[in-house]
Amino acid sequence: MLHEVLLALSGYPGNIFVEKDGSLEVVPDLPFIHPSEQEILSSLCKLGTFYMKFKAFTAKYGGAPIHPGTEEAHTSDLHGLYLIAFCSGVEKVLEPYRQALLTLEREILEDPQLTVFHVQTELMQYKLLFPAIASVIRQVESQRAHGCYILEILHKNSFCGMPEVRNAMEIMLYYCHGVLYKQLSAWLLHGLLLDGYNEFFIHQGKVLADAARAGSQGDDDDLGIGGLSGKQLRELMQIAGEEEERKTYVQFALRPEMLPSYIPVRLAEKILFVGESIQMFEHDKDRPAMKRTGSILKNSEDQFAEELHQLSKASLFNLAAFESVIDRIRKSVAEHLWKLVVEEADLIGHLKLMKDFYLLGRGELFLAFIDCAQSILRGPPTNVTEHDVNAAFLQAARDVLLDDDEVTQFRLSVQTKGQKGQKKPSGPIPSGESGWGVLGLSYSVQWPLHILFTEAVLDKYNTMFRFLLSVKRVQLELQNCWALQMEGKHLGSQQSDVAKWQLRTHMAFLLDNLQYYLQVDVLETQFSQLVEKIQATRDFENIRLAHDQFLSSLLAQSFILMKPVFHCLNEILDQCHNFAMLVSLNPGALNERQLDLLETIAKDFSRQSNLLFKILSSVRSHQASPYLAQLLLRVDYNKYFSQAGGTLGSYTAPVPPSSSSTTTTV
Amino acid sequence: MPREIITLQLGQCGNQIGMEFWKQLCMEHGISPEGILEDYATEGTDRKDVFFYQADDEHYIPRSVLLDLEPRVINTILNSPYANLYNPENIYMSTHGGGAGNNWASGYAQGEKVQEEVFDIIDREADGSDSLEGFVICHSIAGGTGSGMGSYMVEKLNDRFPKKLIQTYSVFPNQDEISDVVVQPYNSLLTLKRLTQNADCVVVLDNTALNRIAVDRLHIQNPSFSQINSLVSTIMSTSTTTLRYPGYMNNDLIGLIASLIPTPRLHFLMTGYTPLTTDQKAASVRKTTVLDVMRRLLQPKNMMVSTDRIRHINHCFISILNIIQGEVDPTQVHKSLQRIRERKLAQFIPWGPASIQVALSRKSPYVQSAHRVSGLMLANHTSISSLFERCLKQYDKLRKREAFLEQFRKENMFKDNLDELDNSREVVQQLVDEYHAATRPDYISWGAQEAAEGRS
Repeated sequence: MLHEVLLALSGYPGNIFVEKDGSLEVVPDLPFIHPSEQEILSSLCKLGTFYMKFKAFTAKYGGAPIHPGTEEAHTSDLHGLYLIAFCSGVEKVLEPYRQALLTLEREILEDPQLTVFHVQTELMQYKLLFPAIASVIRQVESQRAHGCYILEILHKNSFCGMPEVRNAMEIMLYYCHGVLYKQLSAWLLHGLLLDGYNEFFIHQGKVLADAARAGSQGDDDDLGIGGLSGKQLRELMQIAGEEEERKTYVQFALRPEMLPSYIPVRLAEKILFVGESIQMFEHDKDRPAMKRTGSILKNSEDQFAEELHQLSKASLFNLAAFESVIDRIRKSVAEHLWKLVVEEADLIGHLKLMKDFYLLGRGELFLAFIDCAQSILRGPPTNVTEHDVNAAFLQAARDVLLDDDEVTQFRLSVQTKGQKGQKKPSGPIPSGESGWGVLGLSYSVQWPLHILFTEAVLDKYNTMFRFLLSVKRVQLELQNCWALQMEGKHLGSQQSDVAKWQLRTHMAFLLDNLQYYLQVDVLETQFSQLVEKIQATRDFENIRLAHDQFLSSLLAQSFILMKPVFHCLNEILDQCHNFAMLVSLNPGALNERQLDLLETIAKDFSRQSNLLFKILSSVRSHQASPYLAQLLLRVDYNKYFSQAGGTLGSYTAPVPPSSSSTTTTV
Repeated sequence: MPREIITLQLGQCGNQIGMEFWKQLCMEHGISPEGILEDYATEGTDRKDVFFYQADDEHYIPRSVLLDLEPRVINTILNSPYANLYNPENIYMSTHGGGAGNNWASGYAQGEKVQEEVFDIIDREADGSDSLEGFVICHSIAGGTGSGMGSYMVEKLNDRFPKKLIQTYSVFPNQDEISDVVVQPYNSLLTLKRLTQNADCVVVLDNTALNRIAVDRLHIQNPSFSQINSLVSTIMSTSTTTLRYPGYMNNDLIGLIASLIPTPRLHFLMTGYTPLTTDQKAASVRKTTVLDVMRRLLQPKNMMVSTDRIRHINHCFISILNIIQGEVDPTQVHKSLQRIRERKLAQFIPWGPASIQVALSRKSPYVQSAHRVSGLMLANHTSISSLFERCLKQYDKLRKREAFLEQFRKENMFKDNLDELDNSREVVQQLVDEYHAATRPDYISWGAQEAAEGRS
């Protein structure tokens, strides 16, 4: 009968132990079995049942992997390398049990007097272990665990007070980690994503590019310094260049649901970064630029492979050791990238170029361009506008004697109405329907700088570009009015003119100081800090972080992110534009209707500038946005602004006191 | 579209400072005295085309017109290494070569006589540029040619090119020494009228202050003309630096001066420059910072205009533009502005907004300087009126005695009466009054009051 027991324990039903509803049971009411024995046998039966199920599980899933891409891969509910590894882990854990059965059999053969109690005591430990394993298997099956998620389940279950259970779980984990390490080393050392079953926690983001960007636009705009946010990483591989070039770059992303909780996200992102970088280099090996650079990991590849191998051999997963290896690889990659980007690709030179164009560093170019393009962009854009604008841009560039190869990297784009729906404009359009509002600048980023100047980054540059250009444009218009004003230098000043020109002076003052603020206090300052940071580090990720900070500071300090101020500034720009239009179209004395219009403009302008002043001075004390105070300092340098603001309620608007005060006093 | 600027240099003084100016520009752009671009300067991103154009053989020619009624100074230029720099067609010397005899009326009349030939040159230059922005005139207001012919040219240019800007660099005579030009007060007054009514921007170069600066600041006992002129050329070249080394702002003349001149008539600017050095010694190299430079620029002793302290008038800045060159830490700019305001180092007008605008500019890579940071201030300050008051006072003294008027009566303009002199006095007096009014809070309504008084 003991053999019958052993067979049952090995998962095979017999005469005494029969299979019923998938579990083994003792045939009840056998005359030669004492009820107490019956109890013991029943409990042994449970072990047998578990074992049977384990075997069925490993037999079902532990076989040769289904070839990915076949029909079965889709229909089969559970599959994958991790599952197979898990099965081997289960087998491994069951190994001692089978050994124990063998020993028992030998003992039984040697000593026929052995009782069933002996069997029970020998197998006591498995009574605790088997339910645990069974529960893991149940979880895997019921949650349809796939890939790295199996690691997560095992890891959760390994938190257990019972040493046997914990050991077993760790052994199973070890097996599964084997697969993980294989994938990791392929990814980390060669940039290969060997993941036929979509099990790894990094995957290729396919179509989500555009959708994700449109969605992430809003989030990315926030002030948070998400230097390493997943979104940006997702967009990492994008290139804003010609279509064909773009196609060759695949983007990768983390798959959060696959990421085991014991691997921190920051670590996973490091892994993602390393793989992507290497992937990029492997991919471009045939490029001439790569001939010199060689492999990104250079000679350390073997060393890192060895280290990873060592790690995979360790029976326990050691996060600290794991992280330190990842860190070392990351550092080596980041440094290499730094070298490539900063030294070979001349990052600082390119940043200067970005500043010259996107941030209007080449004032004379845009001066000429605004002249050339004024007539093209005044009206709403049409289909040919983009072409015309680019021609004007090139013409302007030639006029100011720029190198053609510098200019041709930039291209102006005009979003016509049809396209507008697809992509929301990044900033409110100040001048309504005119072409200026939808003007954008695109830059064909050169390899390998596309990892820094991603689409999202260029979008931000473009937002700045549009704002700066509109400030500059209105400033020029006001300056042209100044020329008209100067024509009166030999005439005695006329009353209405005094009011008009006074308004112009105030407008120009505000804009000039805004411009100086933007260029000196914001752009120059931030840019010099950025360059400093780039020169201080040898790590590519720090550069990216610094660059992201640079951009978000720009957007914040130029008030683009501060909706009330930005709105206010746009209103002011609009009023200045209206004023300039009115005055330059009617150089002589204004008639009644035009004077009314002028008064409306003056009123709106004074209201908006008053609002601006209030916003600026109300947050002056706050440490959070010291740059508001910086602008205020410039605008209110001789305290005229604040004094006029102080008497605001009583009789006259602060900025153009002329329009109302002169008429009342005379 | 390069906003070209045509330079006119008139008379002895105008040609001298003009020559220094071109010397300086050539040095800064790496152009040899023959107009050939030096080998080391071929890669520059500077804008030479604002002030120069290229001949068919690629050598650079200044957009400059040299005018004089006597050949002495121009001949010196033509005997200097820079002889071949200028377009010989752009040099006009009066055929009889007699000069204007330090007489404004003579200079003005001769200007009228030769205008056709002169405007042939100017029109040719203007047609040769894509989008001419304006004219820069270098002259002195005291002599004959610079003041008389200069006045005529300013009027005529304003007439013929009403849309173009006219900026002048006008040298005011030294008050500390007795001038050999006895009619200097007449000349100055008559010129001032034209500068007030026809120029868009006058950069005042006051010989009194320039001499004082040379003596006090540079410790030169008897400063020579060339030493003074080197100061002037520094001012002139630095004030055009944002046009020639374009940055984000002030890339054209209008952008440079529009913010400085809020009302049309108050367009007389003073300048200051620091740190000043001379060729002879580089011994006293200071540590320069943005704050240091900006603070020094506000000190009256660094101003290149000598003004008197007047008790009862509270003179103040109408506007300030600082052009800072060199290795500037941009974060310093805001701190310096803050400090200057805290310490109340600059007094501003009460009737409108005003501030110190700071433009950061590149420096020529070919001219070495011992100082890390240098700065030029262009300021519109009401105290410049004291210069005009001095002029008026001297004029009144002479006029009371009816002294030296016979020379003027020889010319058509003054043949019948001296109304032109009286009229000019009135214009200058109005200018002084307007500057005084600009120190008061009710300046805005001043123009209206004047007009009302005029009508009543």
